[in-house]
Amino acid sequence: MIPIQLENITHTYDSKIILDNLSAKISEKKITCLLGNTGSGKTTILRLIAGLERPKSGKIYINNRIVTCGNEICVPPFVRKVGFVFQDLALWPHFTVLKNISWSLEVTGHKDASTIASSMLETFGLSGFEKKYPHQLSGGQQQLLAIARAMAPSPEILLMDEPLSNLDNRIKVRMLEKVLEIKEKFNITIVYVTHDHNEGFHIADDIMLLNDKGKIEIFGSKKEIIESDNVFVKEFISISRK
Amino acid sequence: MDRELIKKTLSALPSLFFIIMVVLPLAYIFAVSFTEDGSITFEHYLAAYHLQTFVLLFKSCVLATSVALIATLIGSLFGYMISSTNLPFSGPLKLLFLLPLFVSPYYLAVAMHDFVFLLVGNTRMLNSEEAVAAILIMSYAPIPLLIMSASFANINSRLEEAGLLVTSRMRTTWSILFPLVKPAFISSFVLVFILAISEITVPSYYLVNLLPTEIFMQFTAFYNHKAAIALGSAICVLSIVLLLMERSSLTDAPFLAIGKRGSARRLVTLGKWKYPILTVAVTYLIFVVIIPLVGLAMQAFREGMPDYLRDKSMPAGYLPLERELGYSMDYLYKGFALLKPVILDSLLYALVGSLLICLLGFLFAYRSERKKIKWMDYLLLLIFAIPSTIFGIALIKFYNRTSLEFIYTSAFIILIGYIGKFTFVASRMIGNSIRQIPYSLEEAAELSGANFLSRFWYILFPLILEGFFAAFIVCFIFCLGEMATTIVIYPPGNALLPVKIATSMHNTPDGLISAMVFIILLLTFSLLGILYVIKKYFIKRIHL
Repeated sequence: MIPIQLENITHTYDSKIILDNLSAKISEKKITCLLGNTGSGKTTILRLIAGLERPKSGKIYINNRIVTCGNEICVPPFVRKVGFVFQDLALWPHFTVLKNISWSLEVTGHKDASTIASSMLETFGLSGFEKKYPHQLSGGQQQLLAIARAMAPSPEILLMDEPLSNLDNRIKVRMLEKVLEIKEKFNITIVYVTHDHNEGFHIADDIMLLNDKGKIEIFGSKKEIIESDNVFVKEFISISRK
Repeated sequence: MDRELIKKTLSALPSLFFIIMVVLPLAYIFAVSFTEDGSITFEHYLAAYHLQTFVLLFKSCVLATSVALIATLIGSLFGYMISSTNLPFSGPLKLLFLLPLFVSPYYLAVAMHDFVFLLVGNTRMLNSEEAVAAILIMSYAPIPLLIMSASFANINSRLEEAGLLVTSRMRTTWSILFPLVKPAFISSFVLVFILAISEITVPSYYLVNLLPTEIFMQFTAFYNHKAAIALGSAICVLSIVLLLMERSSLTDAPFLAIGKRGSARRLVTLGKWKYPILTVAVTYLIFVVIIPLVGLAMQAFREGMPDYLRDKSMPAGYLPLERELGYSMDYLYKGFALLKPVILDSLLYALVGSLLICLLGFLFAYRSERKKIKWMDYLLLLIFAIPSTIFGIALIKFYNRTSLEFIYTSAFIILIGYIGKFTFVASRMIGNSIRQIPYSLEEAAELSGANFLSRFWYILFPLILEGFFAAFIVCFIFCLGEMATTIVIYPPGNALLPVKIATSMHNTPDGLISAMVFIILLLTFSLLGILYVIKKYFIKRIHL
């Protein structure tokens, strides 16, 4: 089964082309990392997969089922079974840590929302913080809470939009290990957006590198990317290293 | 029907309601002003515009420009001092500076009239453009103060600090800070200009003939609504042109921003200037807040005047001083007896009106901030720029027909008046609050499966509650004191507090009028106090 398939996706903002006739298939139960410069359309791809935006044209399939067809959303975001970790984390500031997780279960009618939420907190090492508010947690804990919330409804795909961009390097490495753990534990497909190739190469199975013209420059395994002779790839990696 | 179509239709309903109830009457009355006996004509406009009209228009423009400029300068100065410096007692000072905003200019005019009368024994000096300008400056200065202090607070202190590394504080303020707040300054100017040029109650009370009073006269004295509209169109065109010129900066300025978050600026130390500036601020407040209130209170507590002094053929404010009058509660009791029958109705209309305004304001602001559908903003702005009298005339001419009598003869017409006048204010205030909440919070809820109502009720509403409630307070107090439109449209048996005072003016002793205004101010300030306490203690501030 192909968890995510993008077919001839074109997307524009105010007549500026962000994605230009882009097609790709994301592999199942792997971490696929979307790399590229700022404005290359990485976040847009995630938002299109989640159903938070509509492309100008093209089709999106999730688990072989068409979810977006051209400008039309055929399957609404909450039915797509995707979890989303936003760049700003989007933790609900007026809800406690526990409520942040349980609320998203309650609205979809889960009867044991509190139990599931508590067990997610335990899994992510946040037990004891149930009654705290997001602003009372450290940066790393907020990150964990955002991932726990996204994972609570048992999604089949986890979309992560530069979730570690605001963390210092020491915590970032720990969090990357945590992401790998999540993938193993929940056996889930993860699409991970970052502009930092070190971060990408650390966790990715596959890498999709986007150029500045809204197209995929290269898409393959880590090894294929490293061994590639593509000028853009070499430049991107060397600039990132500097 | 397609789900998307239903969503679009539902989201367009509030705009449709507003257009039908508010915009259509205005469009109708302007269209009618170009007709006579079924044919199109410009005769009303040609007849309305002659030398005297242009003189009045010029006088009104000069007055509005002066008011706008001085009020904006005062508001900017104190806005800067309060938001950006270590001026002592800046919190209480800000509250006192804002008080005139919640008092109809008309009441301030009555209060100042009383004070001048107590001081010099007559009020002839108030029958001038300068006096009208002074009252309007006092009334409107809080608006620039709010806009400018929010604008100063919005500036990233790093920008200022980067300037301070290379030049003096004075130069940094002049070259970095001022250009950054220029749009807010111009917006404040335009906003006050529009309010001042269409203000009618103060010039009427001080017997100063300006274009708005002429418009009112054409309608009330001659019942010539076409002439009134023709005259009013000059003000409309002027205001709309100004608004369109300043469109972007006005809509983007942090208009009446409440609960600004995350903008902790480093305060400028005033040093040796701290207490002199505090003295200036307190002196200004004494003139604008304390003196009018004292004057009003003294007149309200004055002993009831004997009959021979109630001769209204005497000049305004005339009172022979041979006989010293003592103080009593007489006028206050009488005033209360006169106002009592309309207090509950006024409160009820203001409550229902402000709730509807905030609801519509939220829906419009949401579409503007989240869906980037901006045309409604401009429409609200245009309606806001229409003088109140013109708006009132439009409502009664449109709704005064058999099929719409249920609106014309009931409280509905008053509510429509409130909605037309103040939805712009609510929409901007609530819009500022929505803008501070990242959209990703709602998107996260959407991905969880929450529908629009759940997202609104559980996520967005608690986060904007503070701003929503502030908008409610402002609109409630504005509705309660609204006079210029209400006096034109109020149906028989539905007189409200401000109308009661305005209509009593010519057959009631001055002291009794003062007592009635005093009671209304007491009521307004008490309500403000109660609402403030509710906001402070019952509305939780959220840490974003």
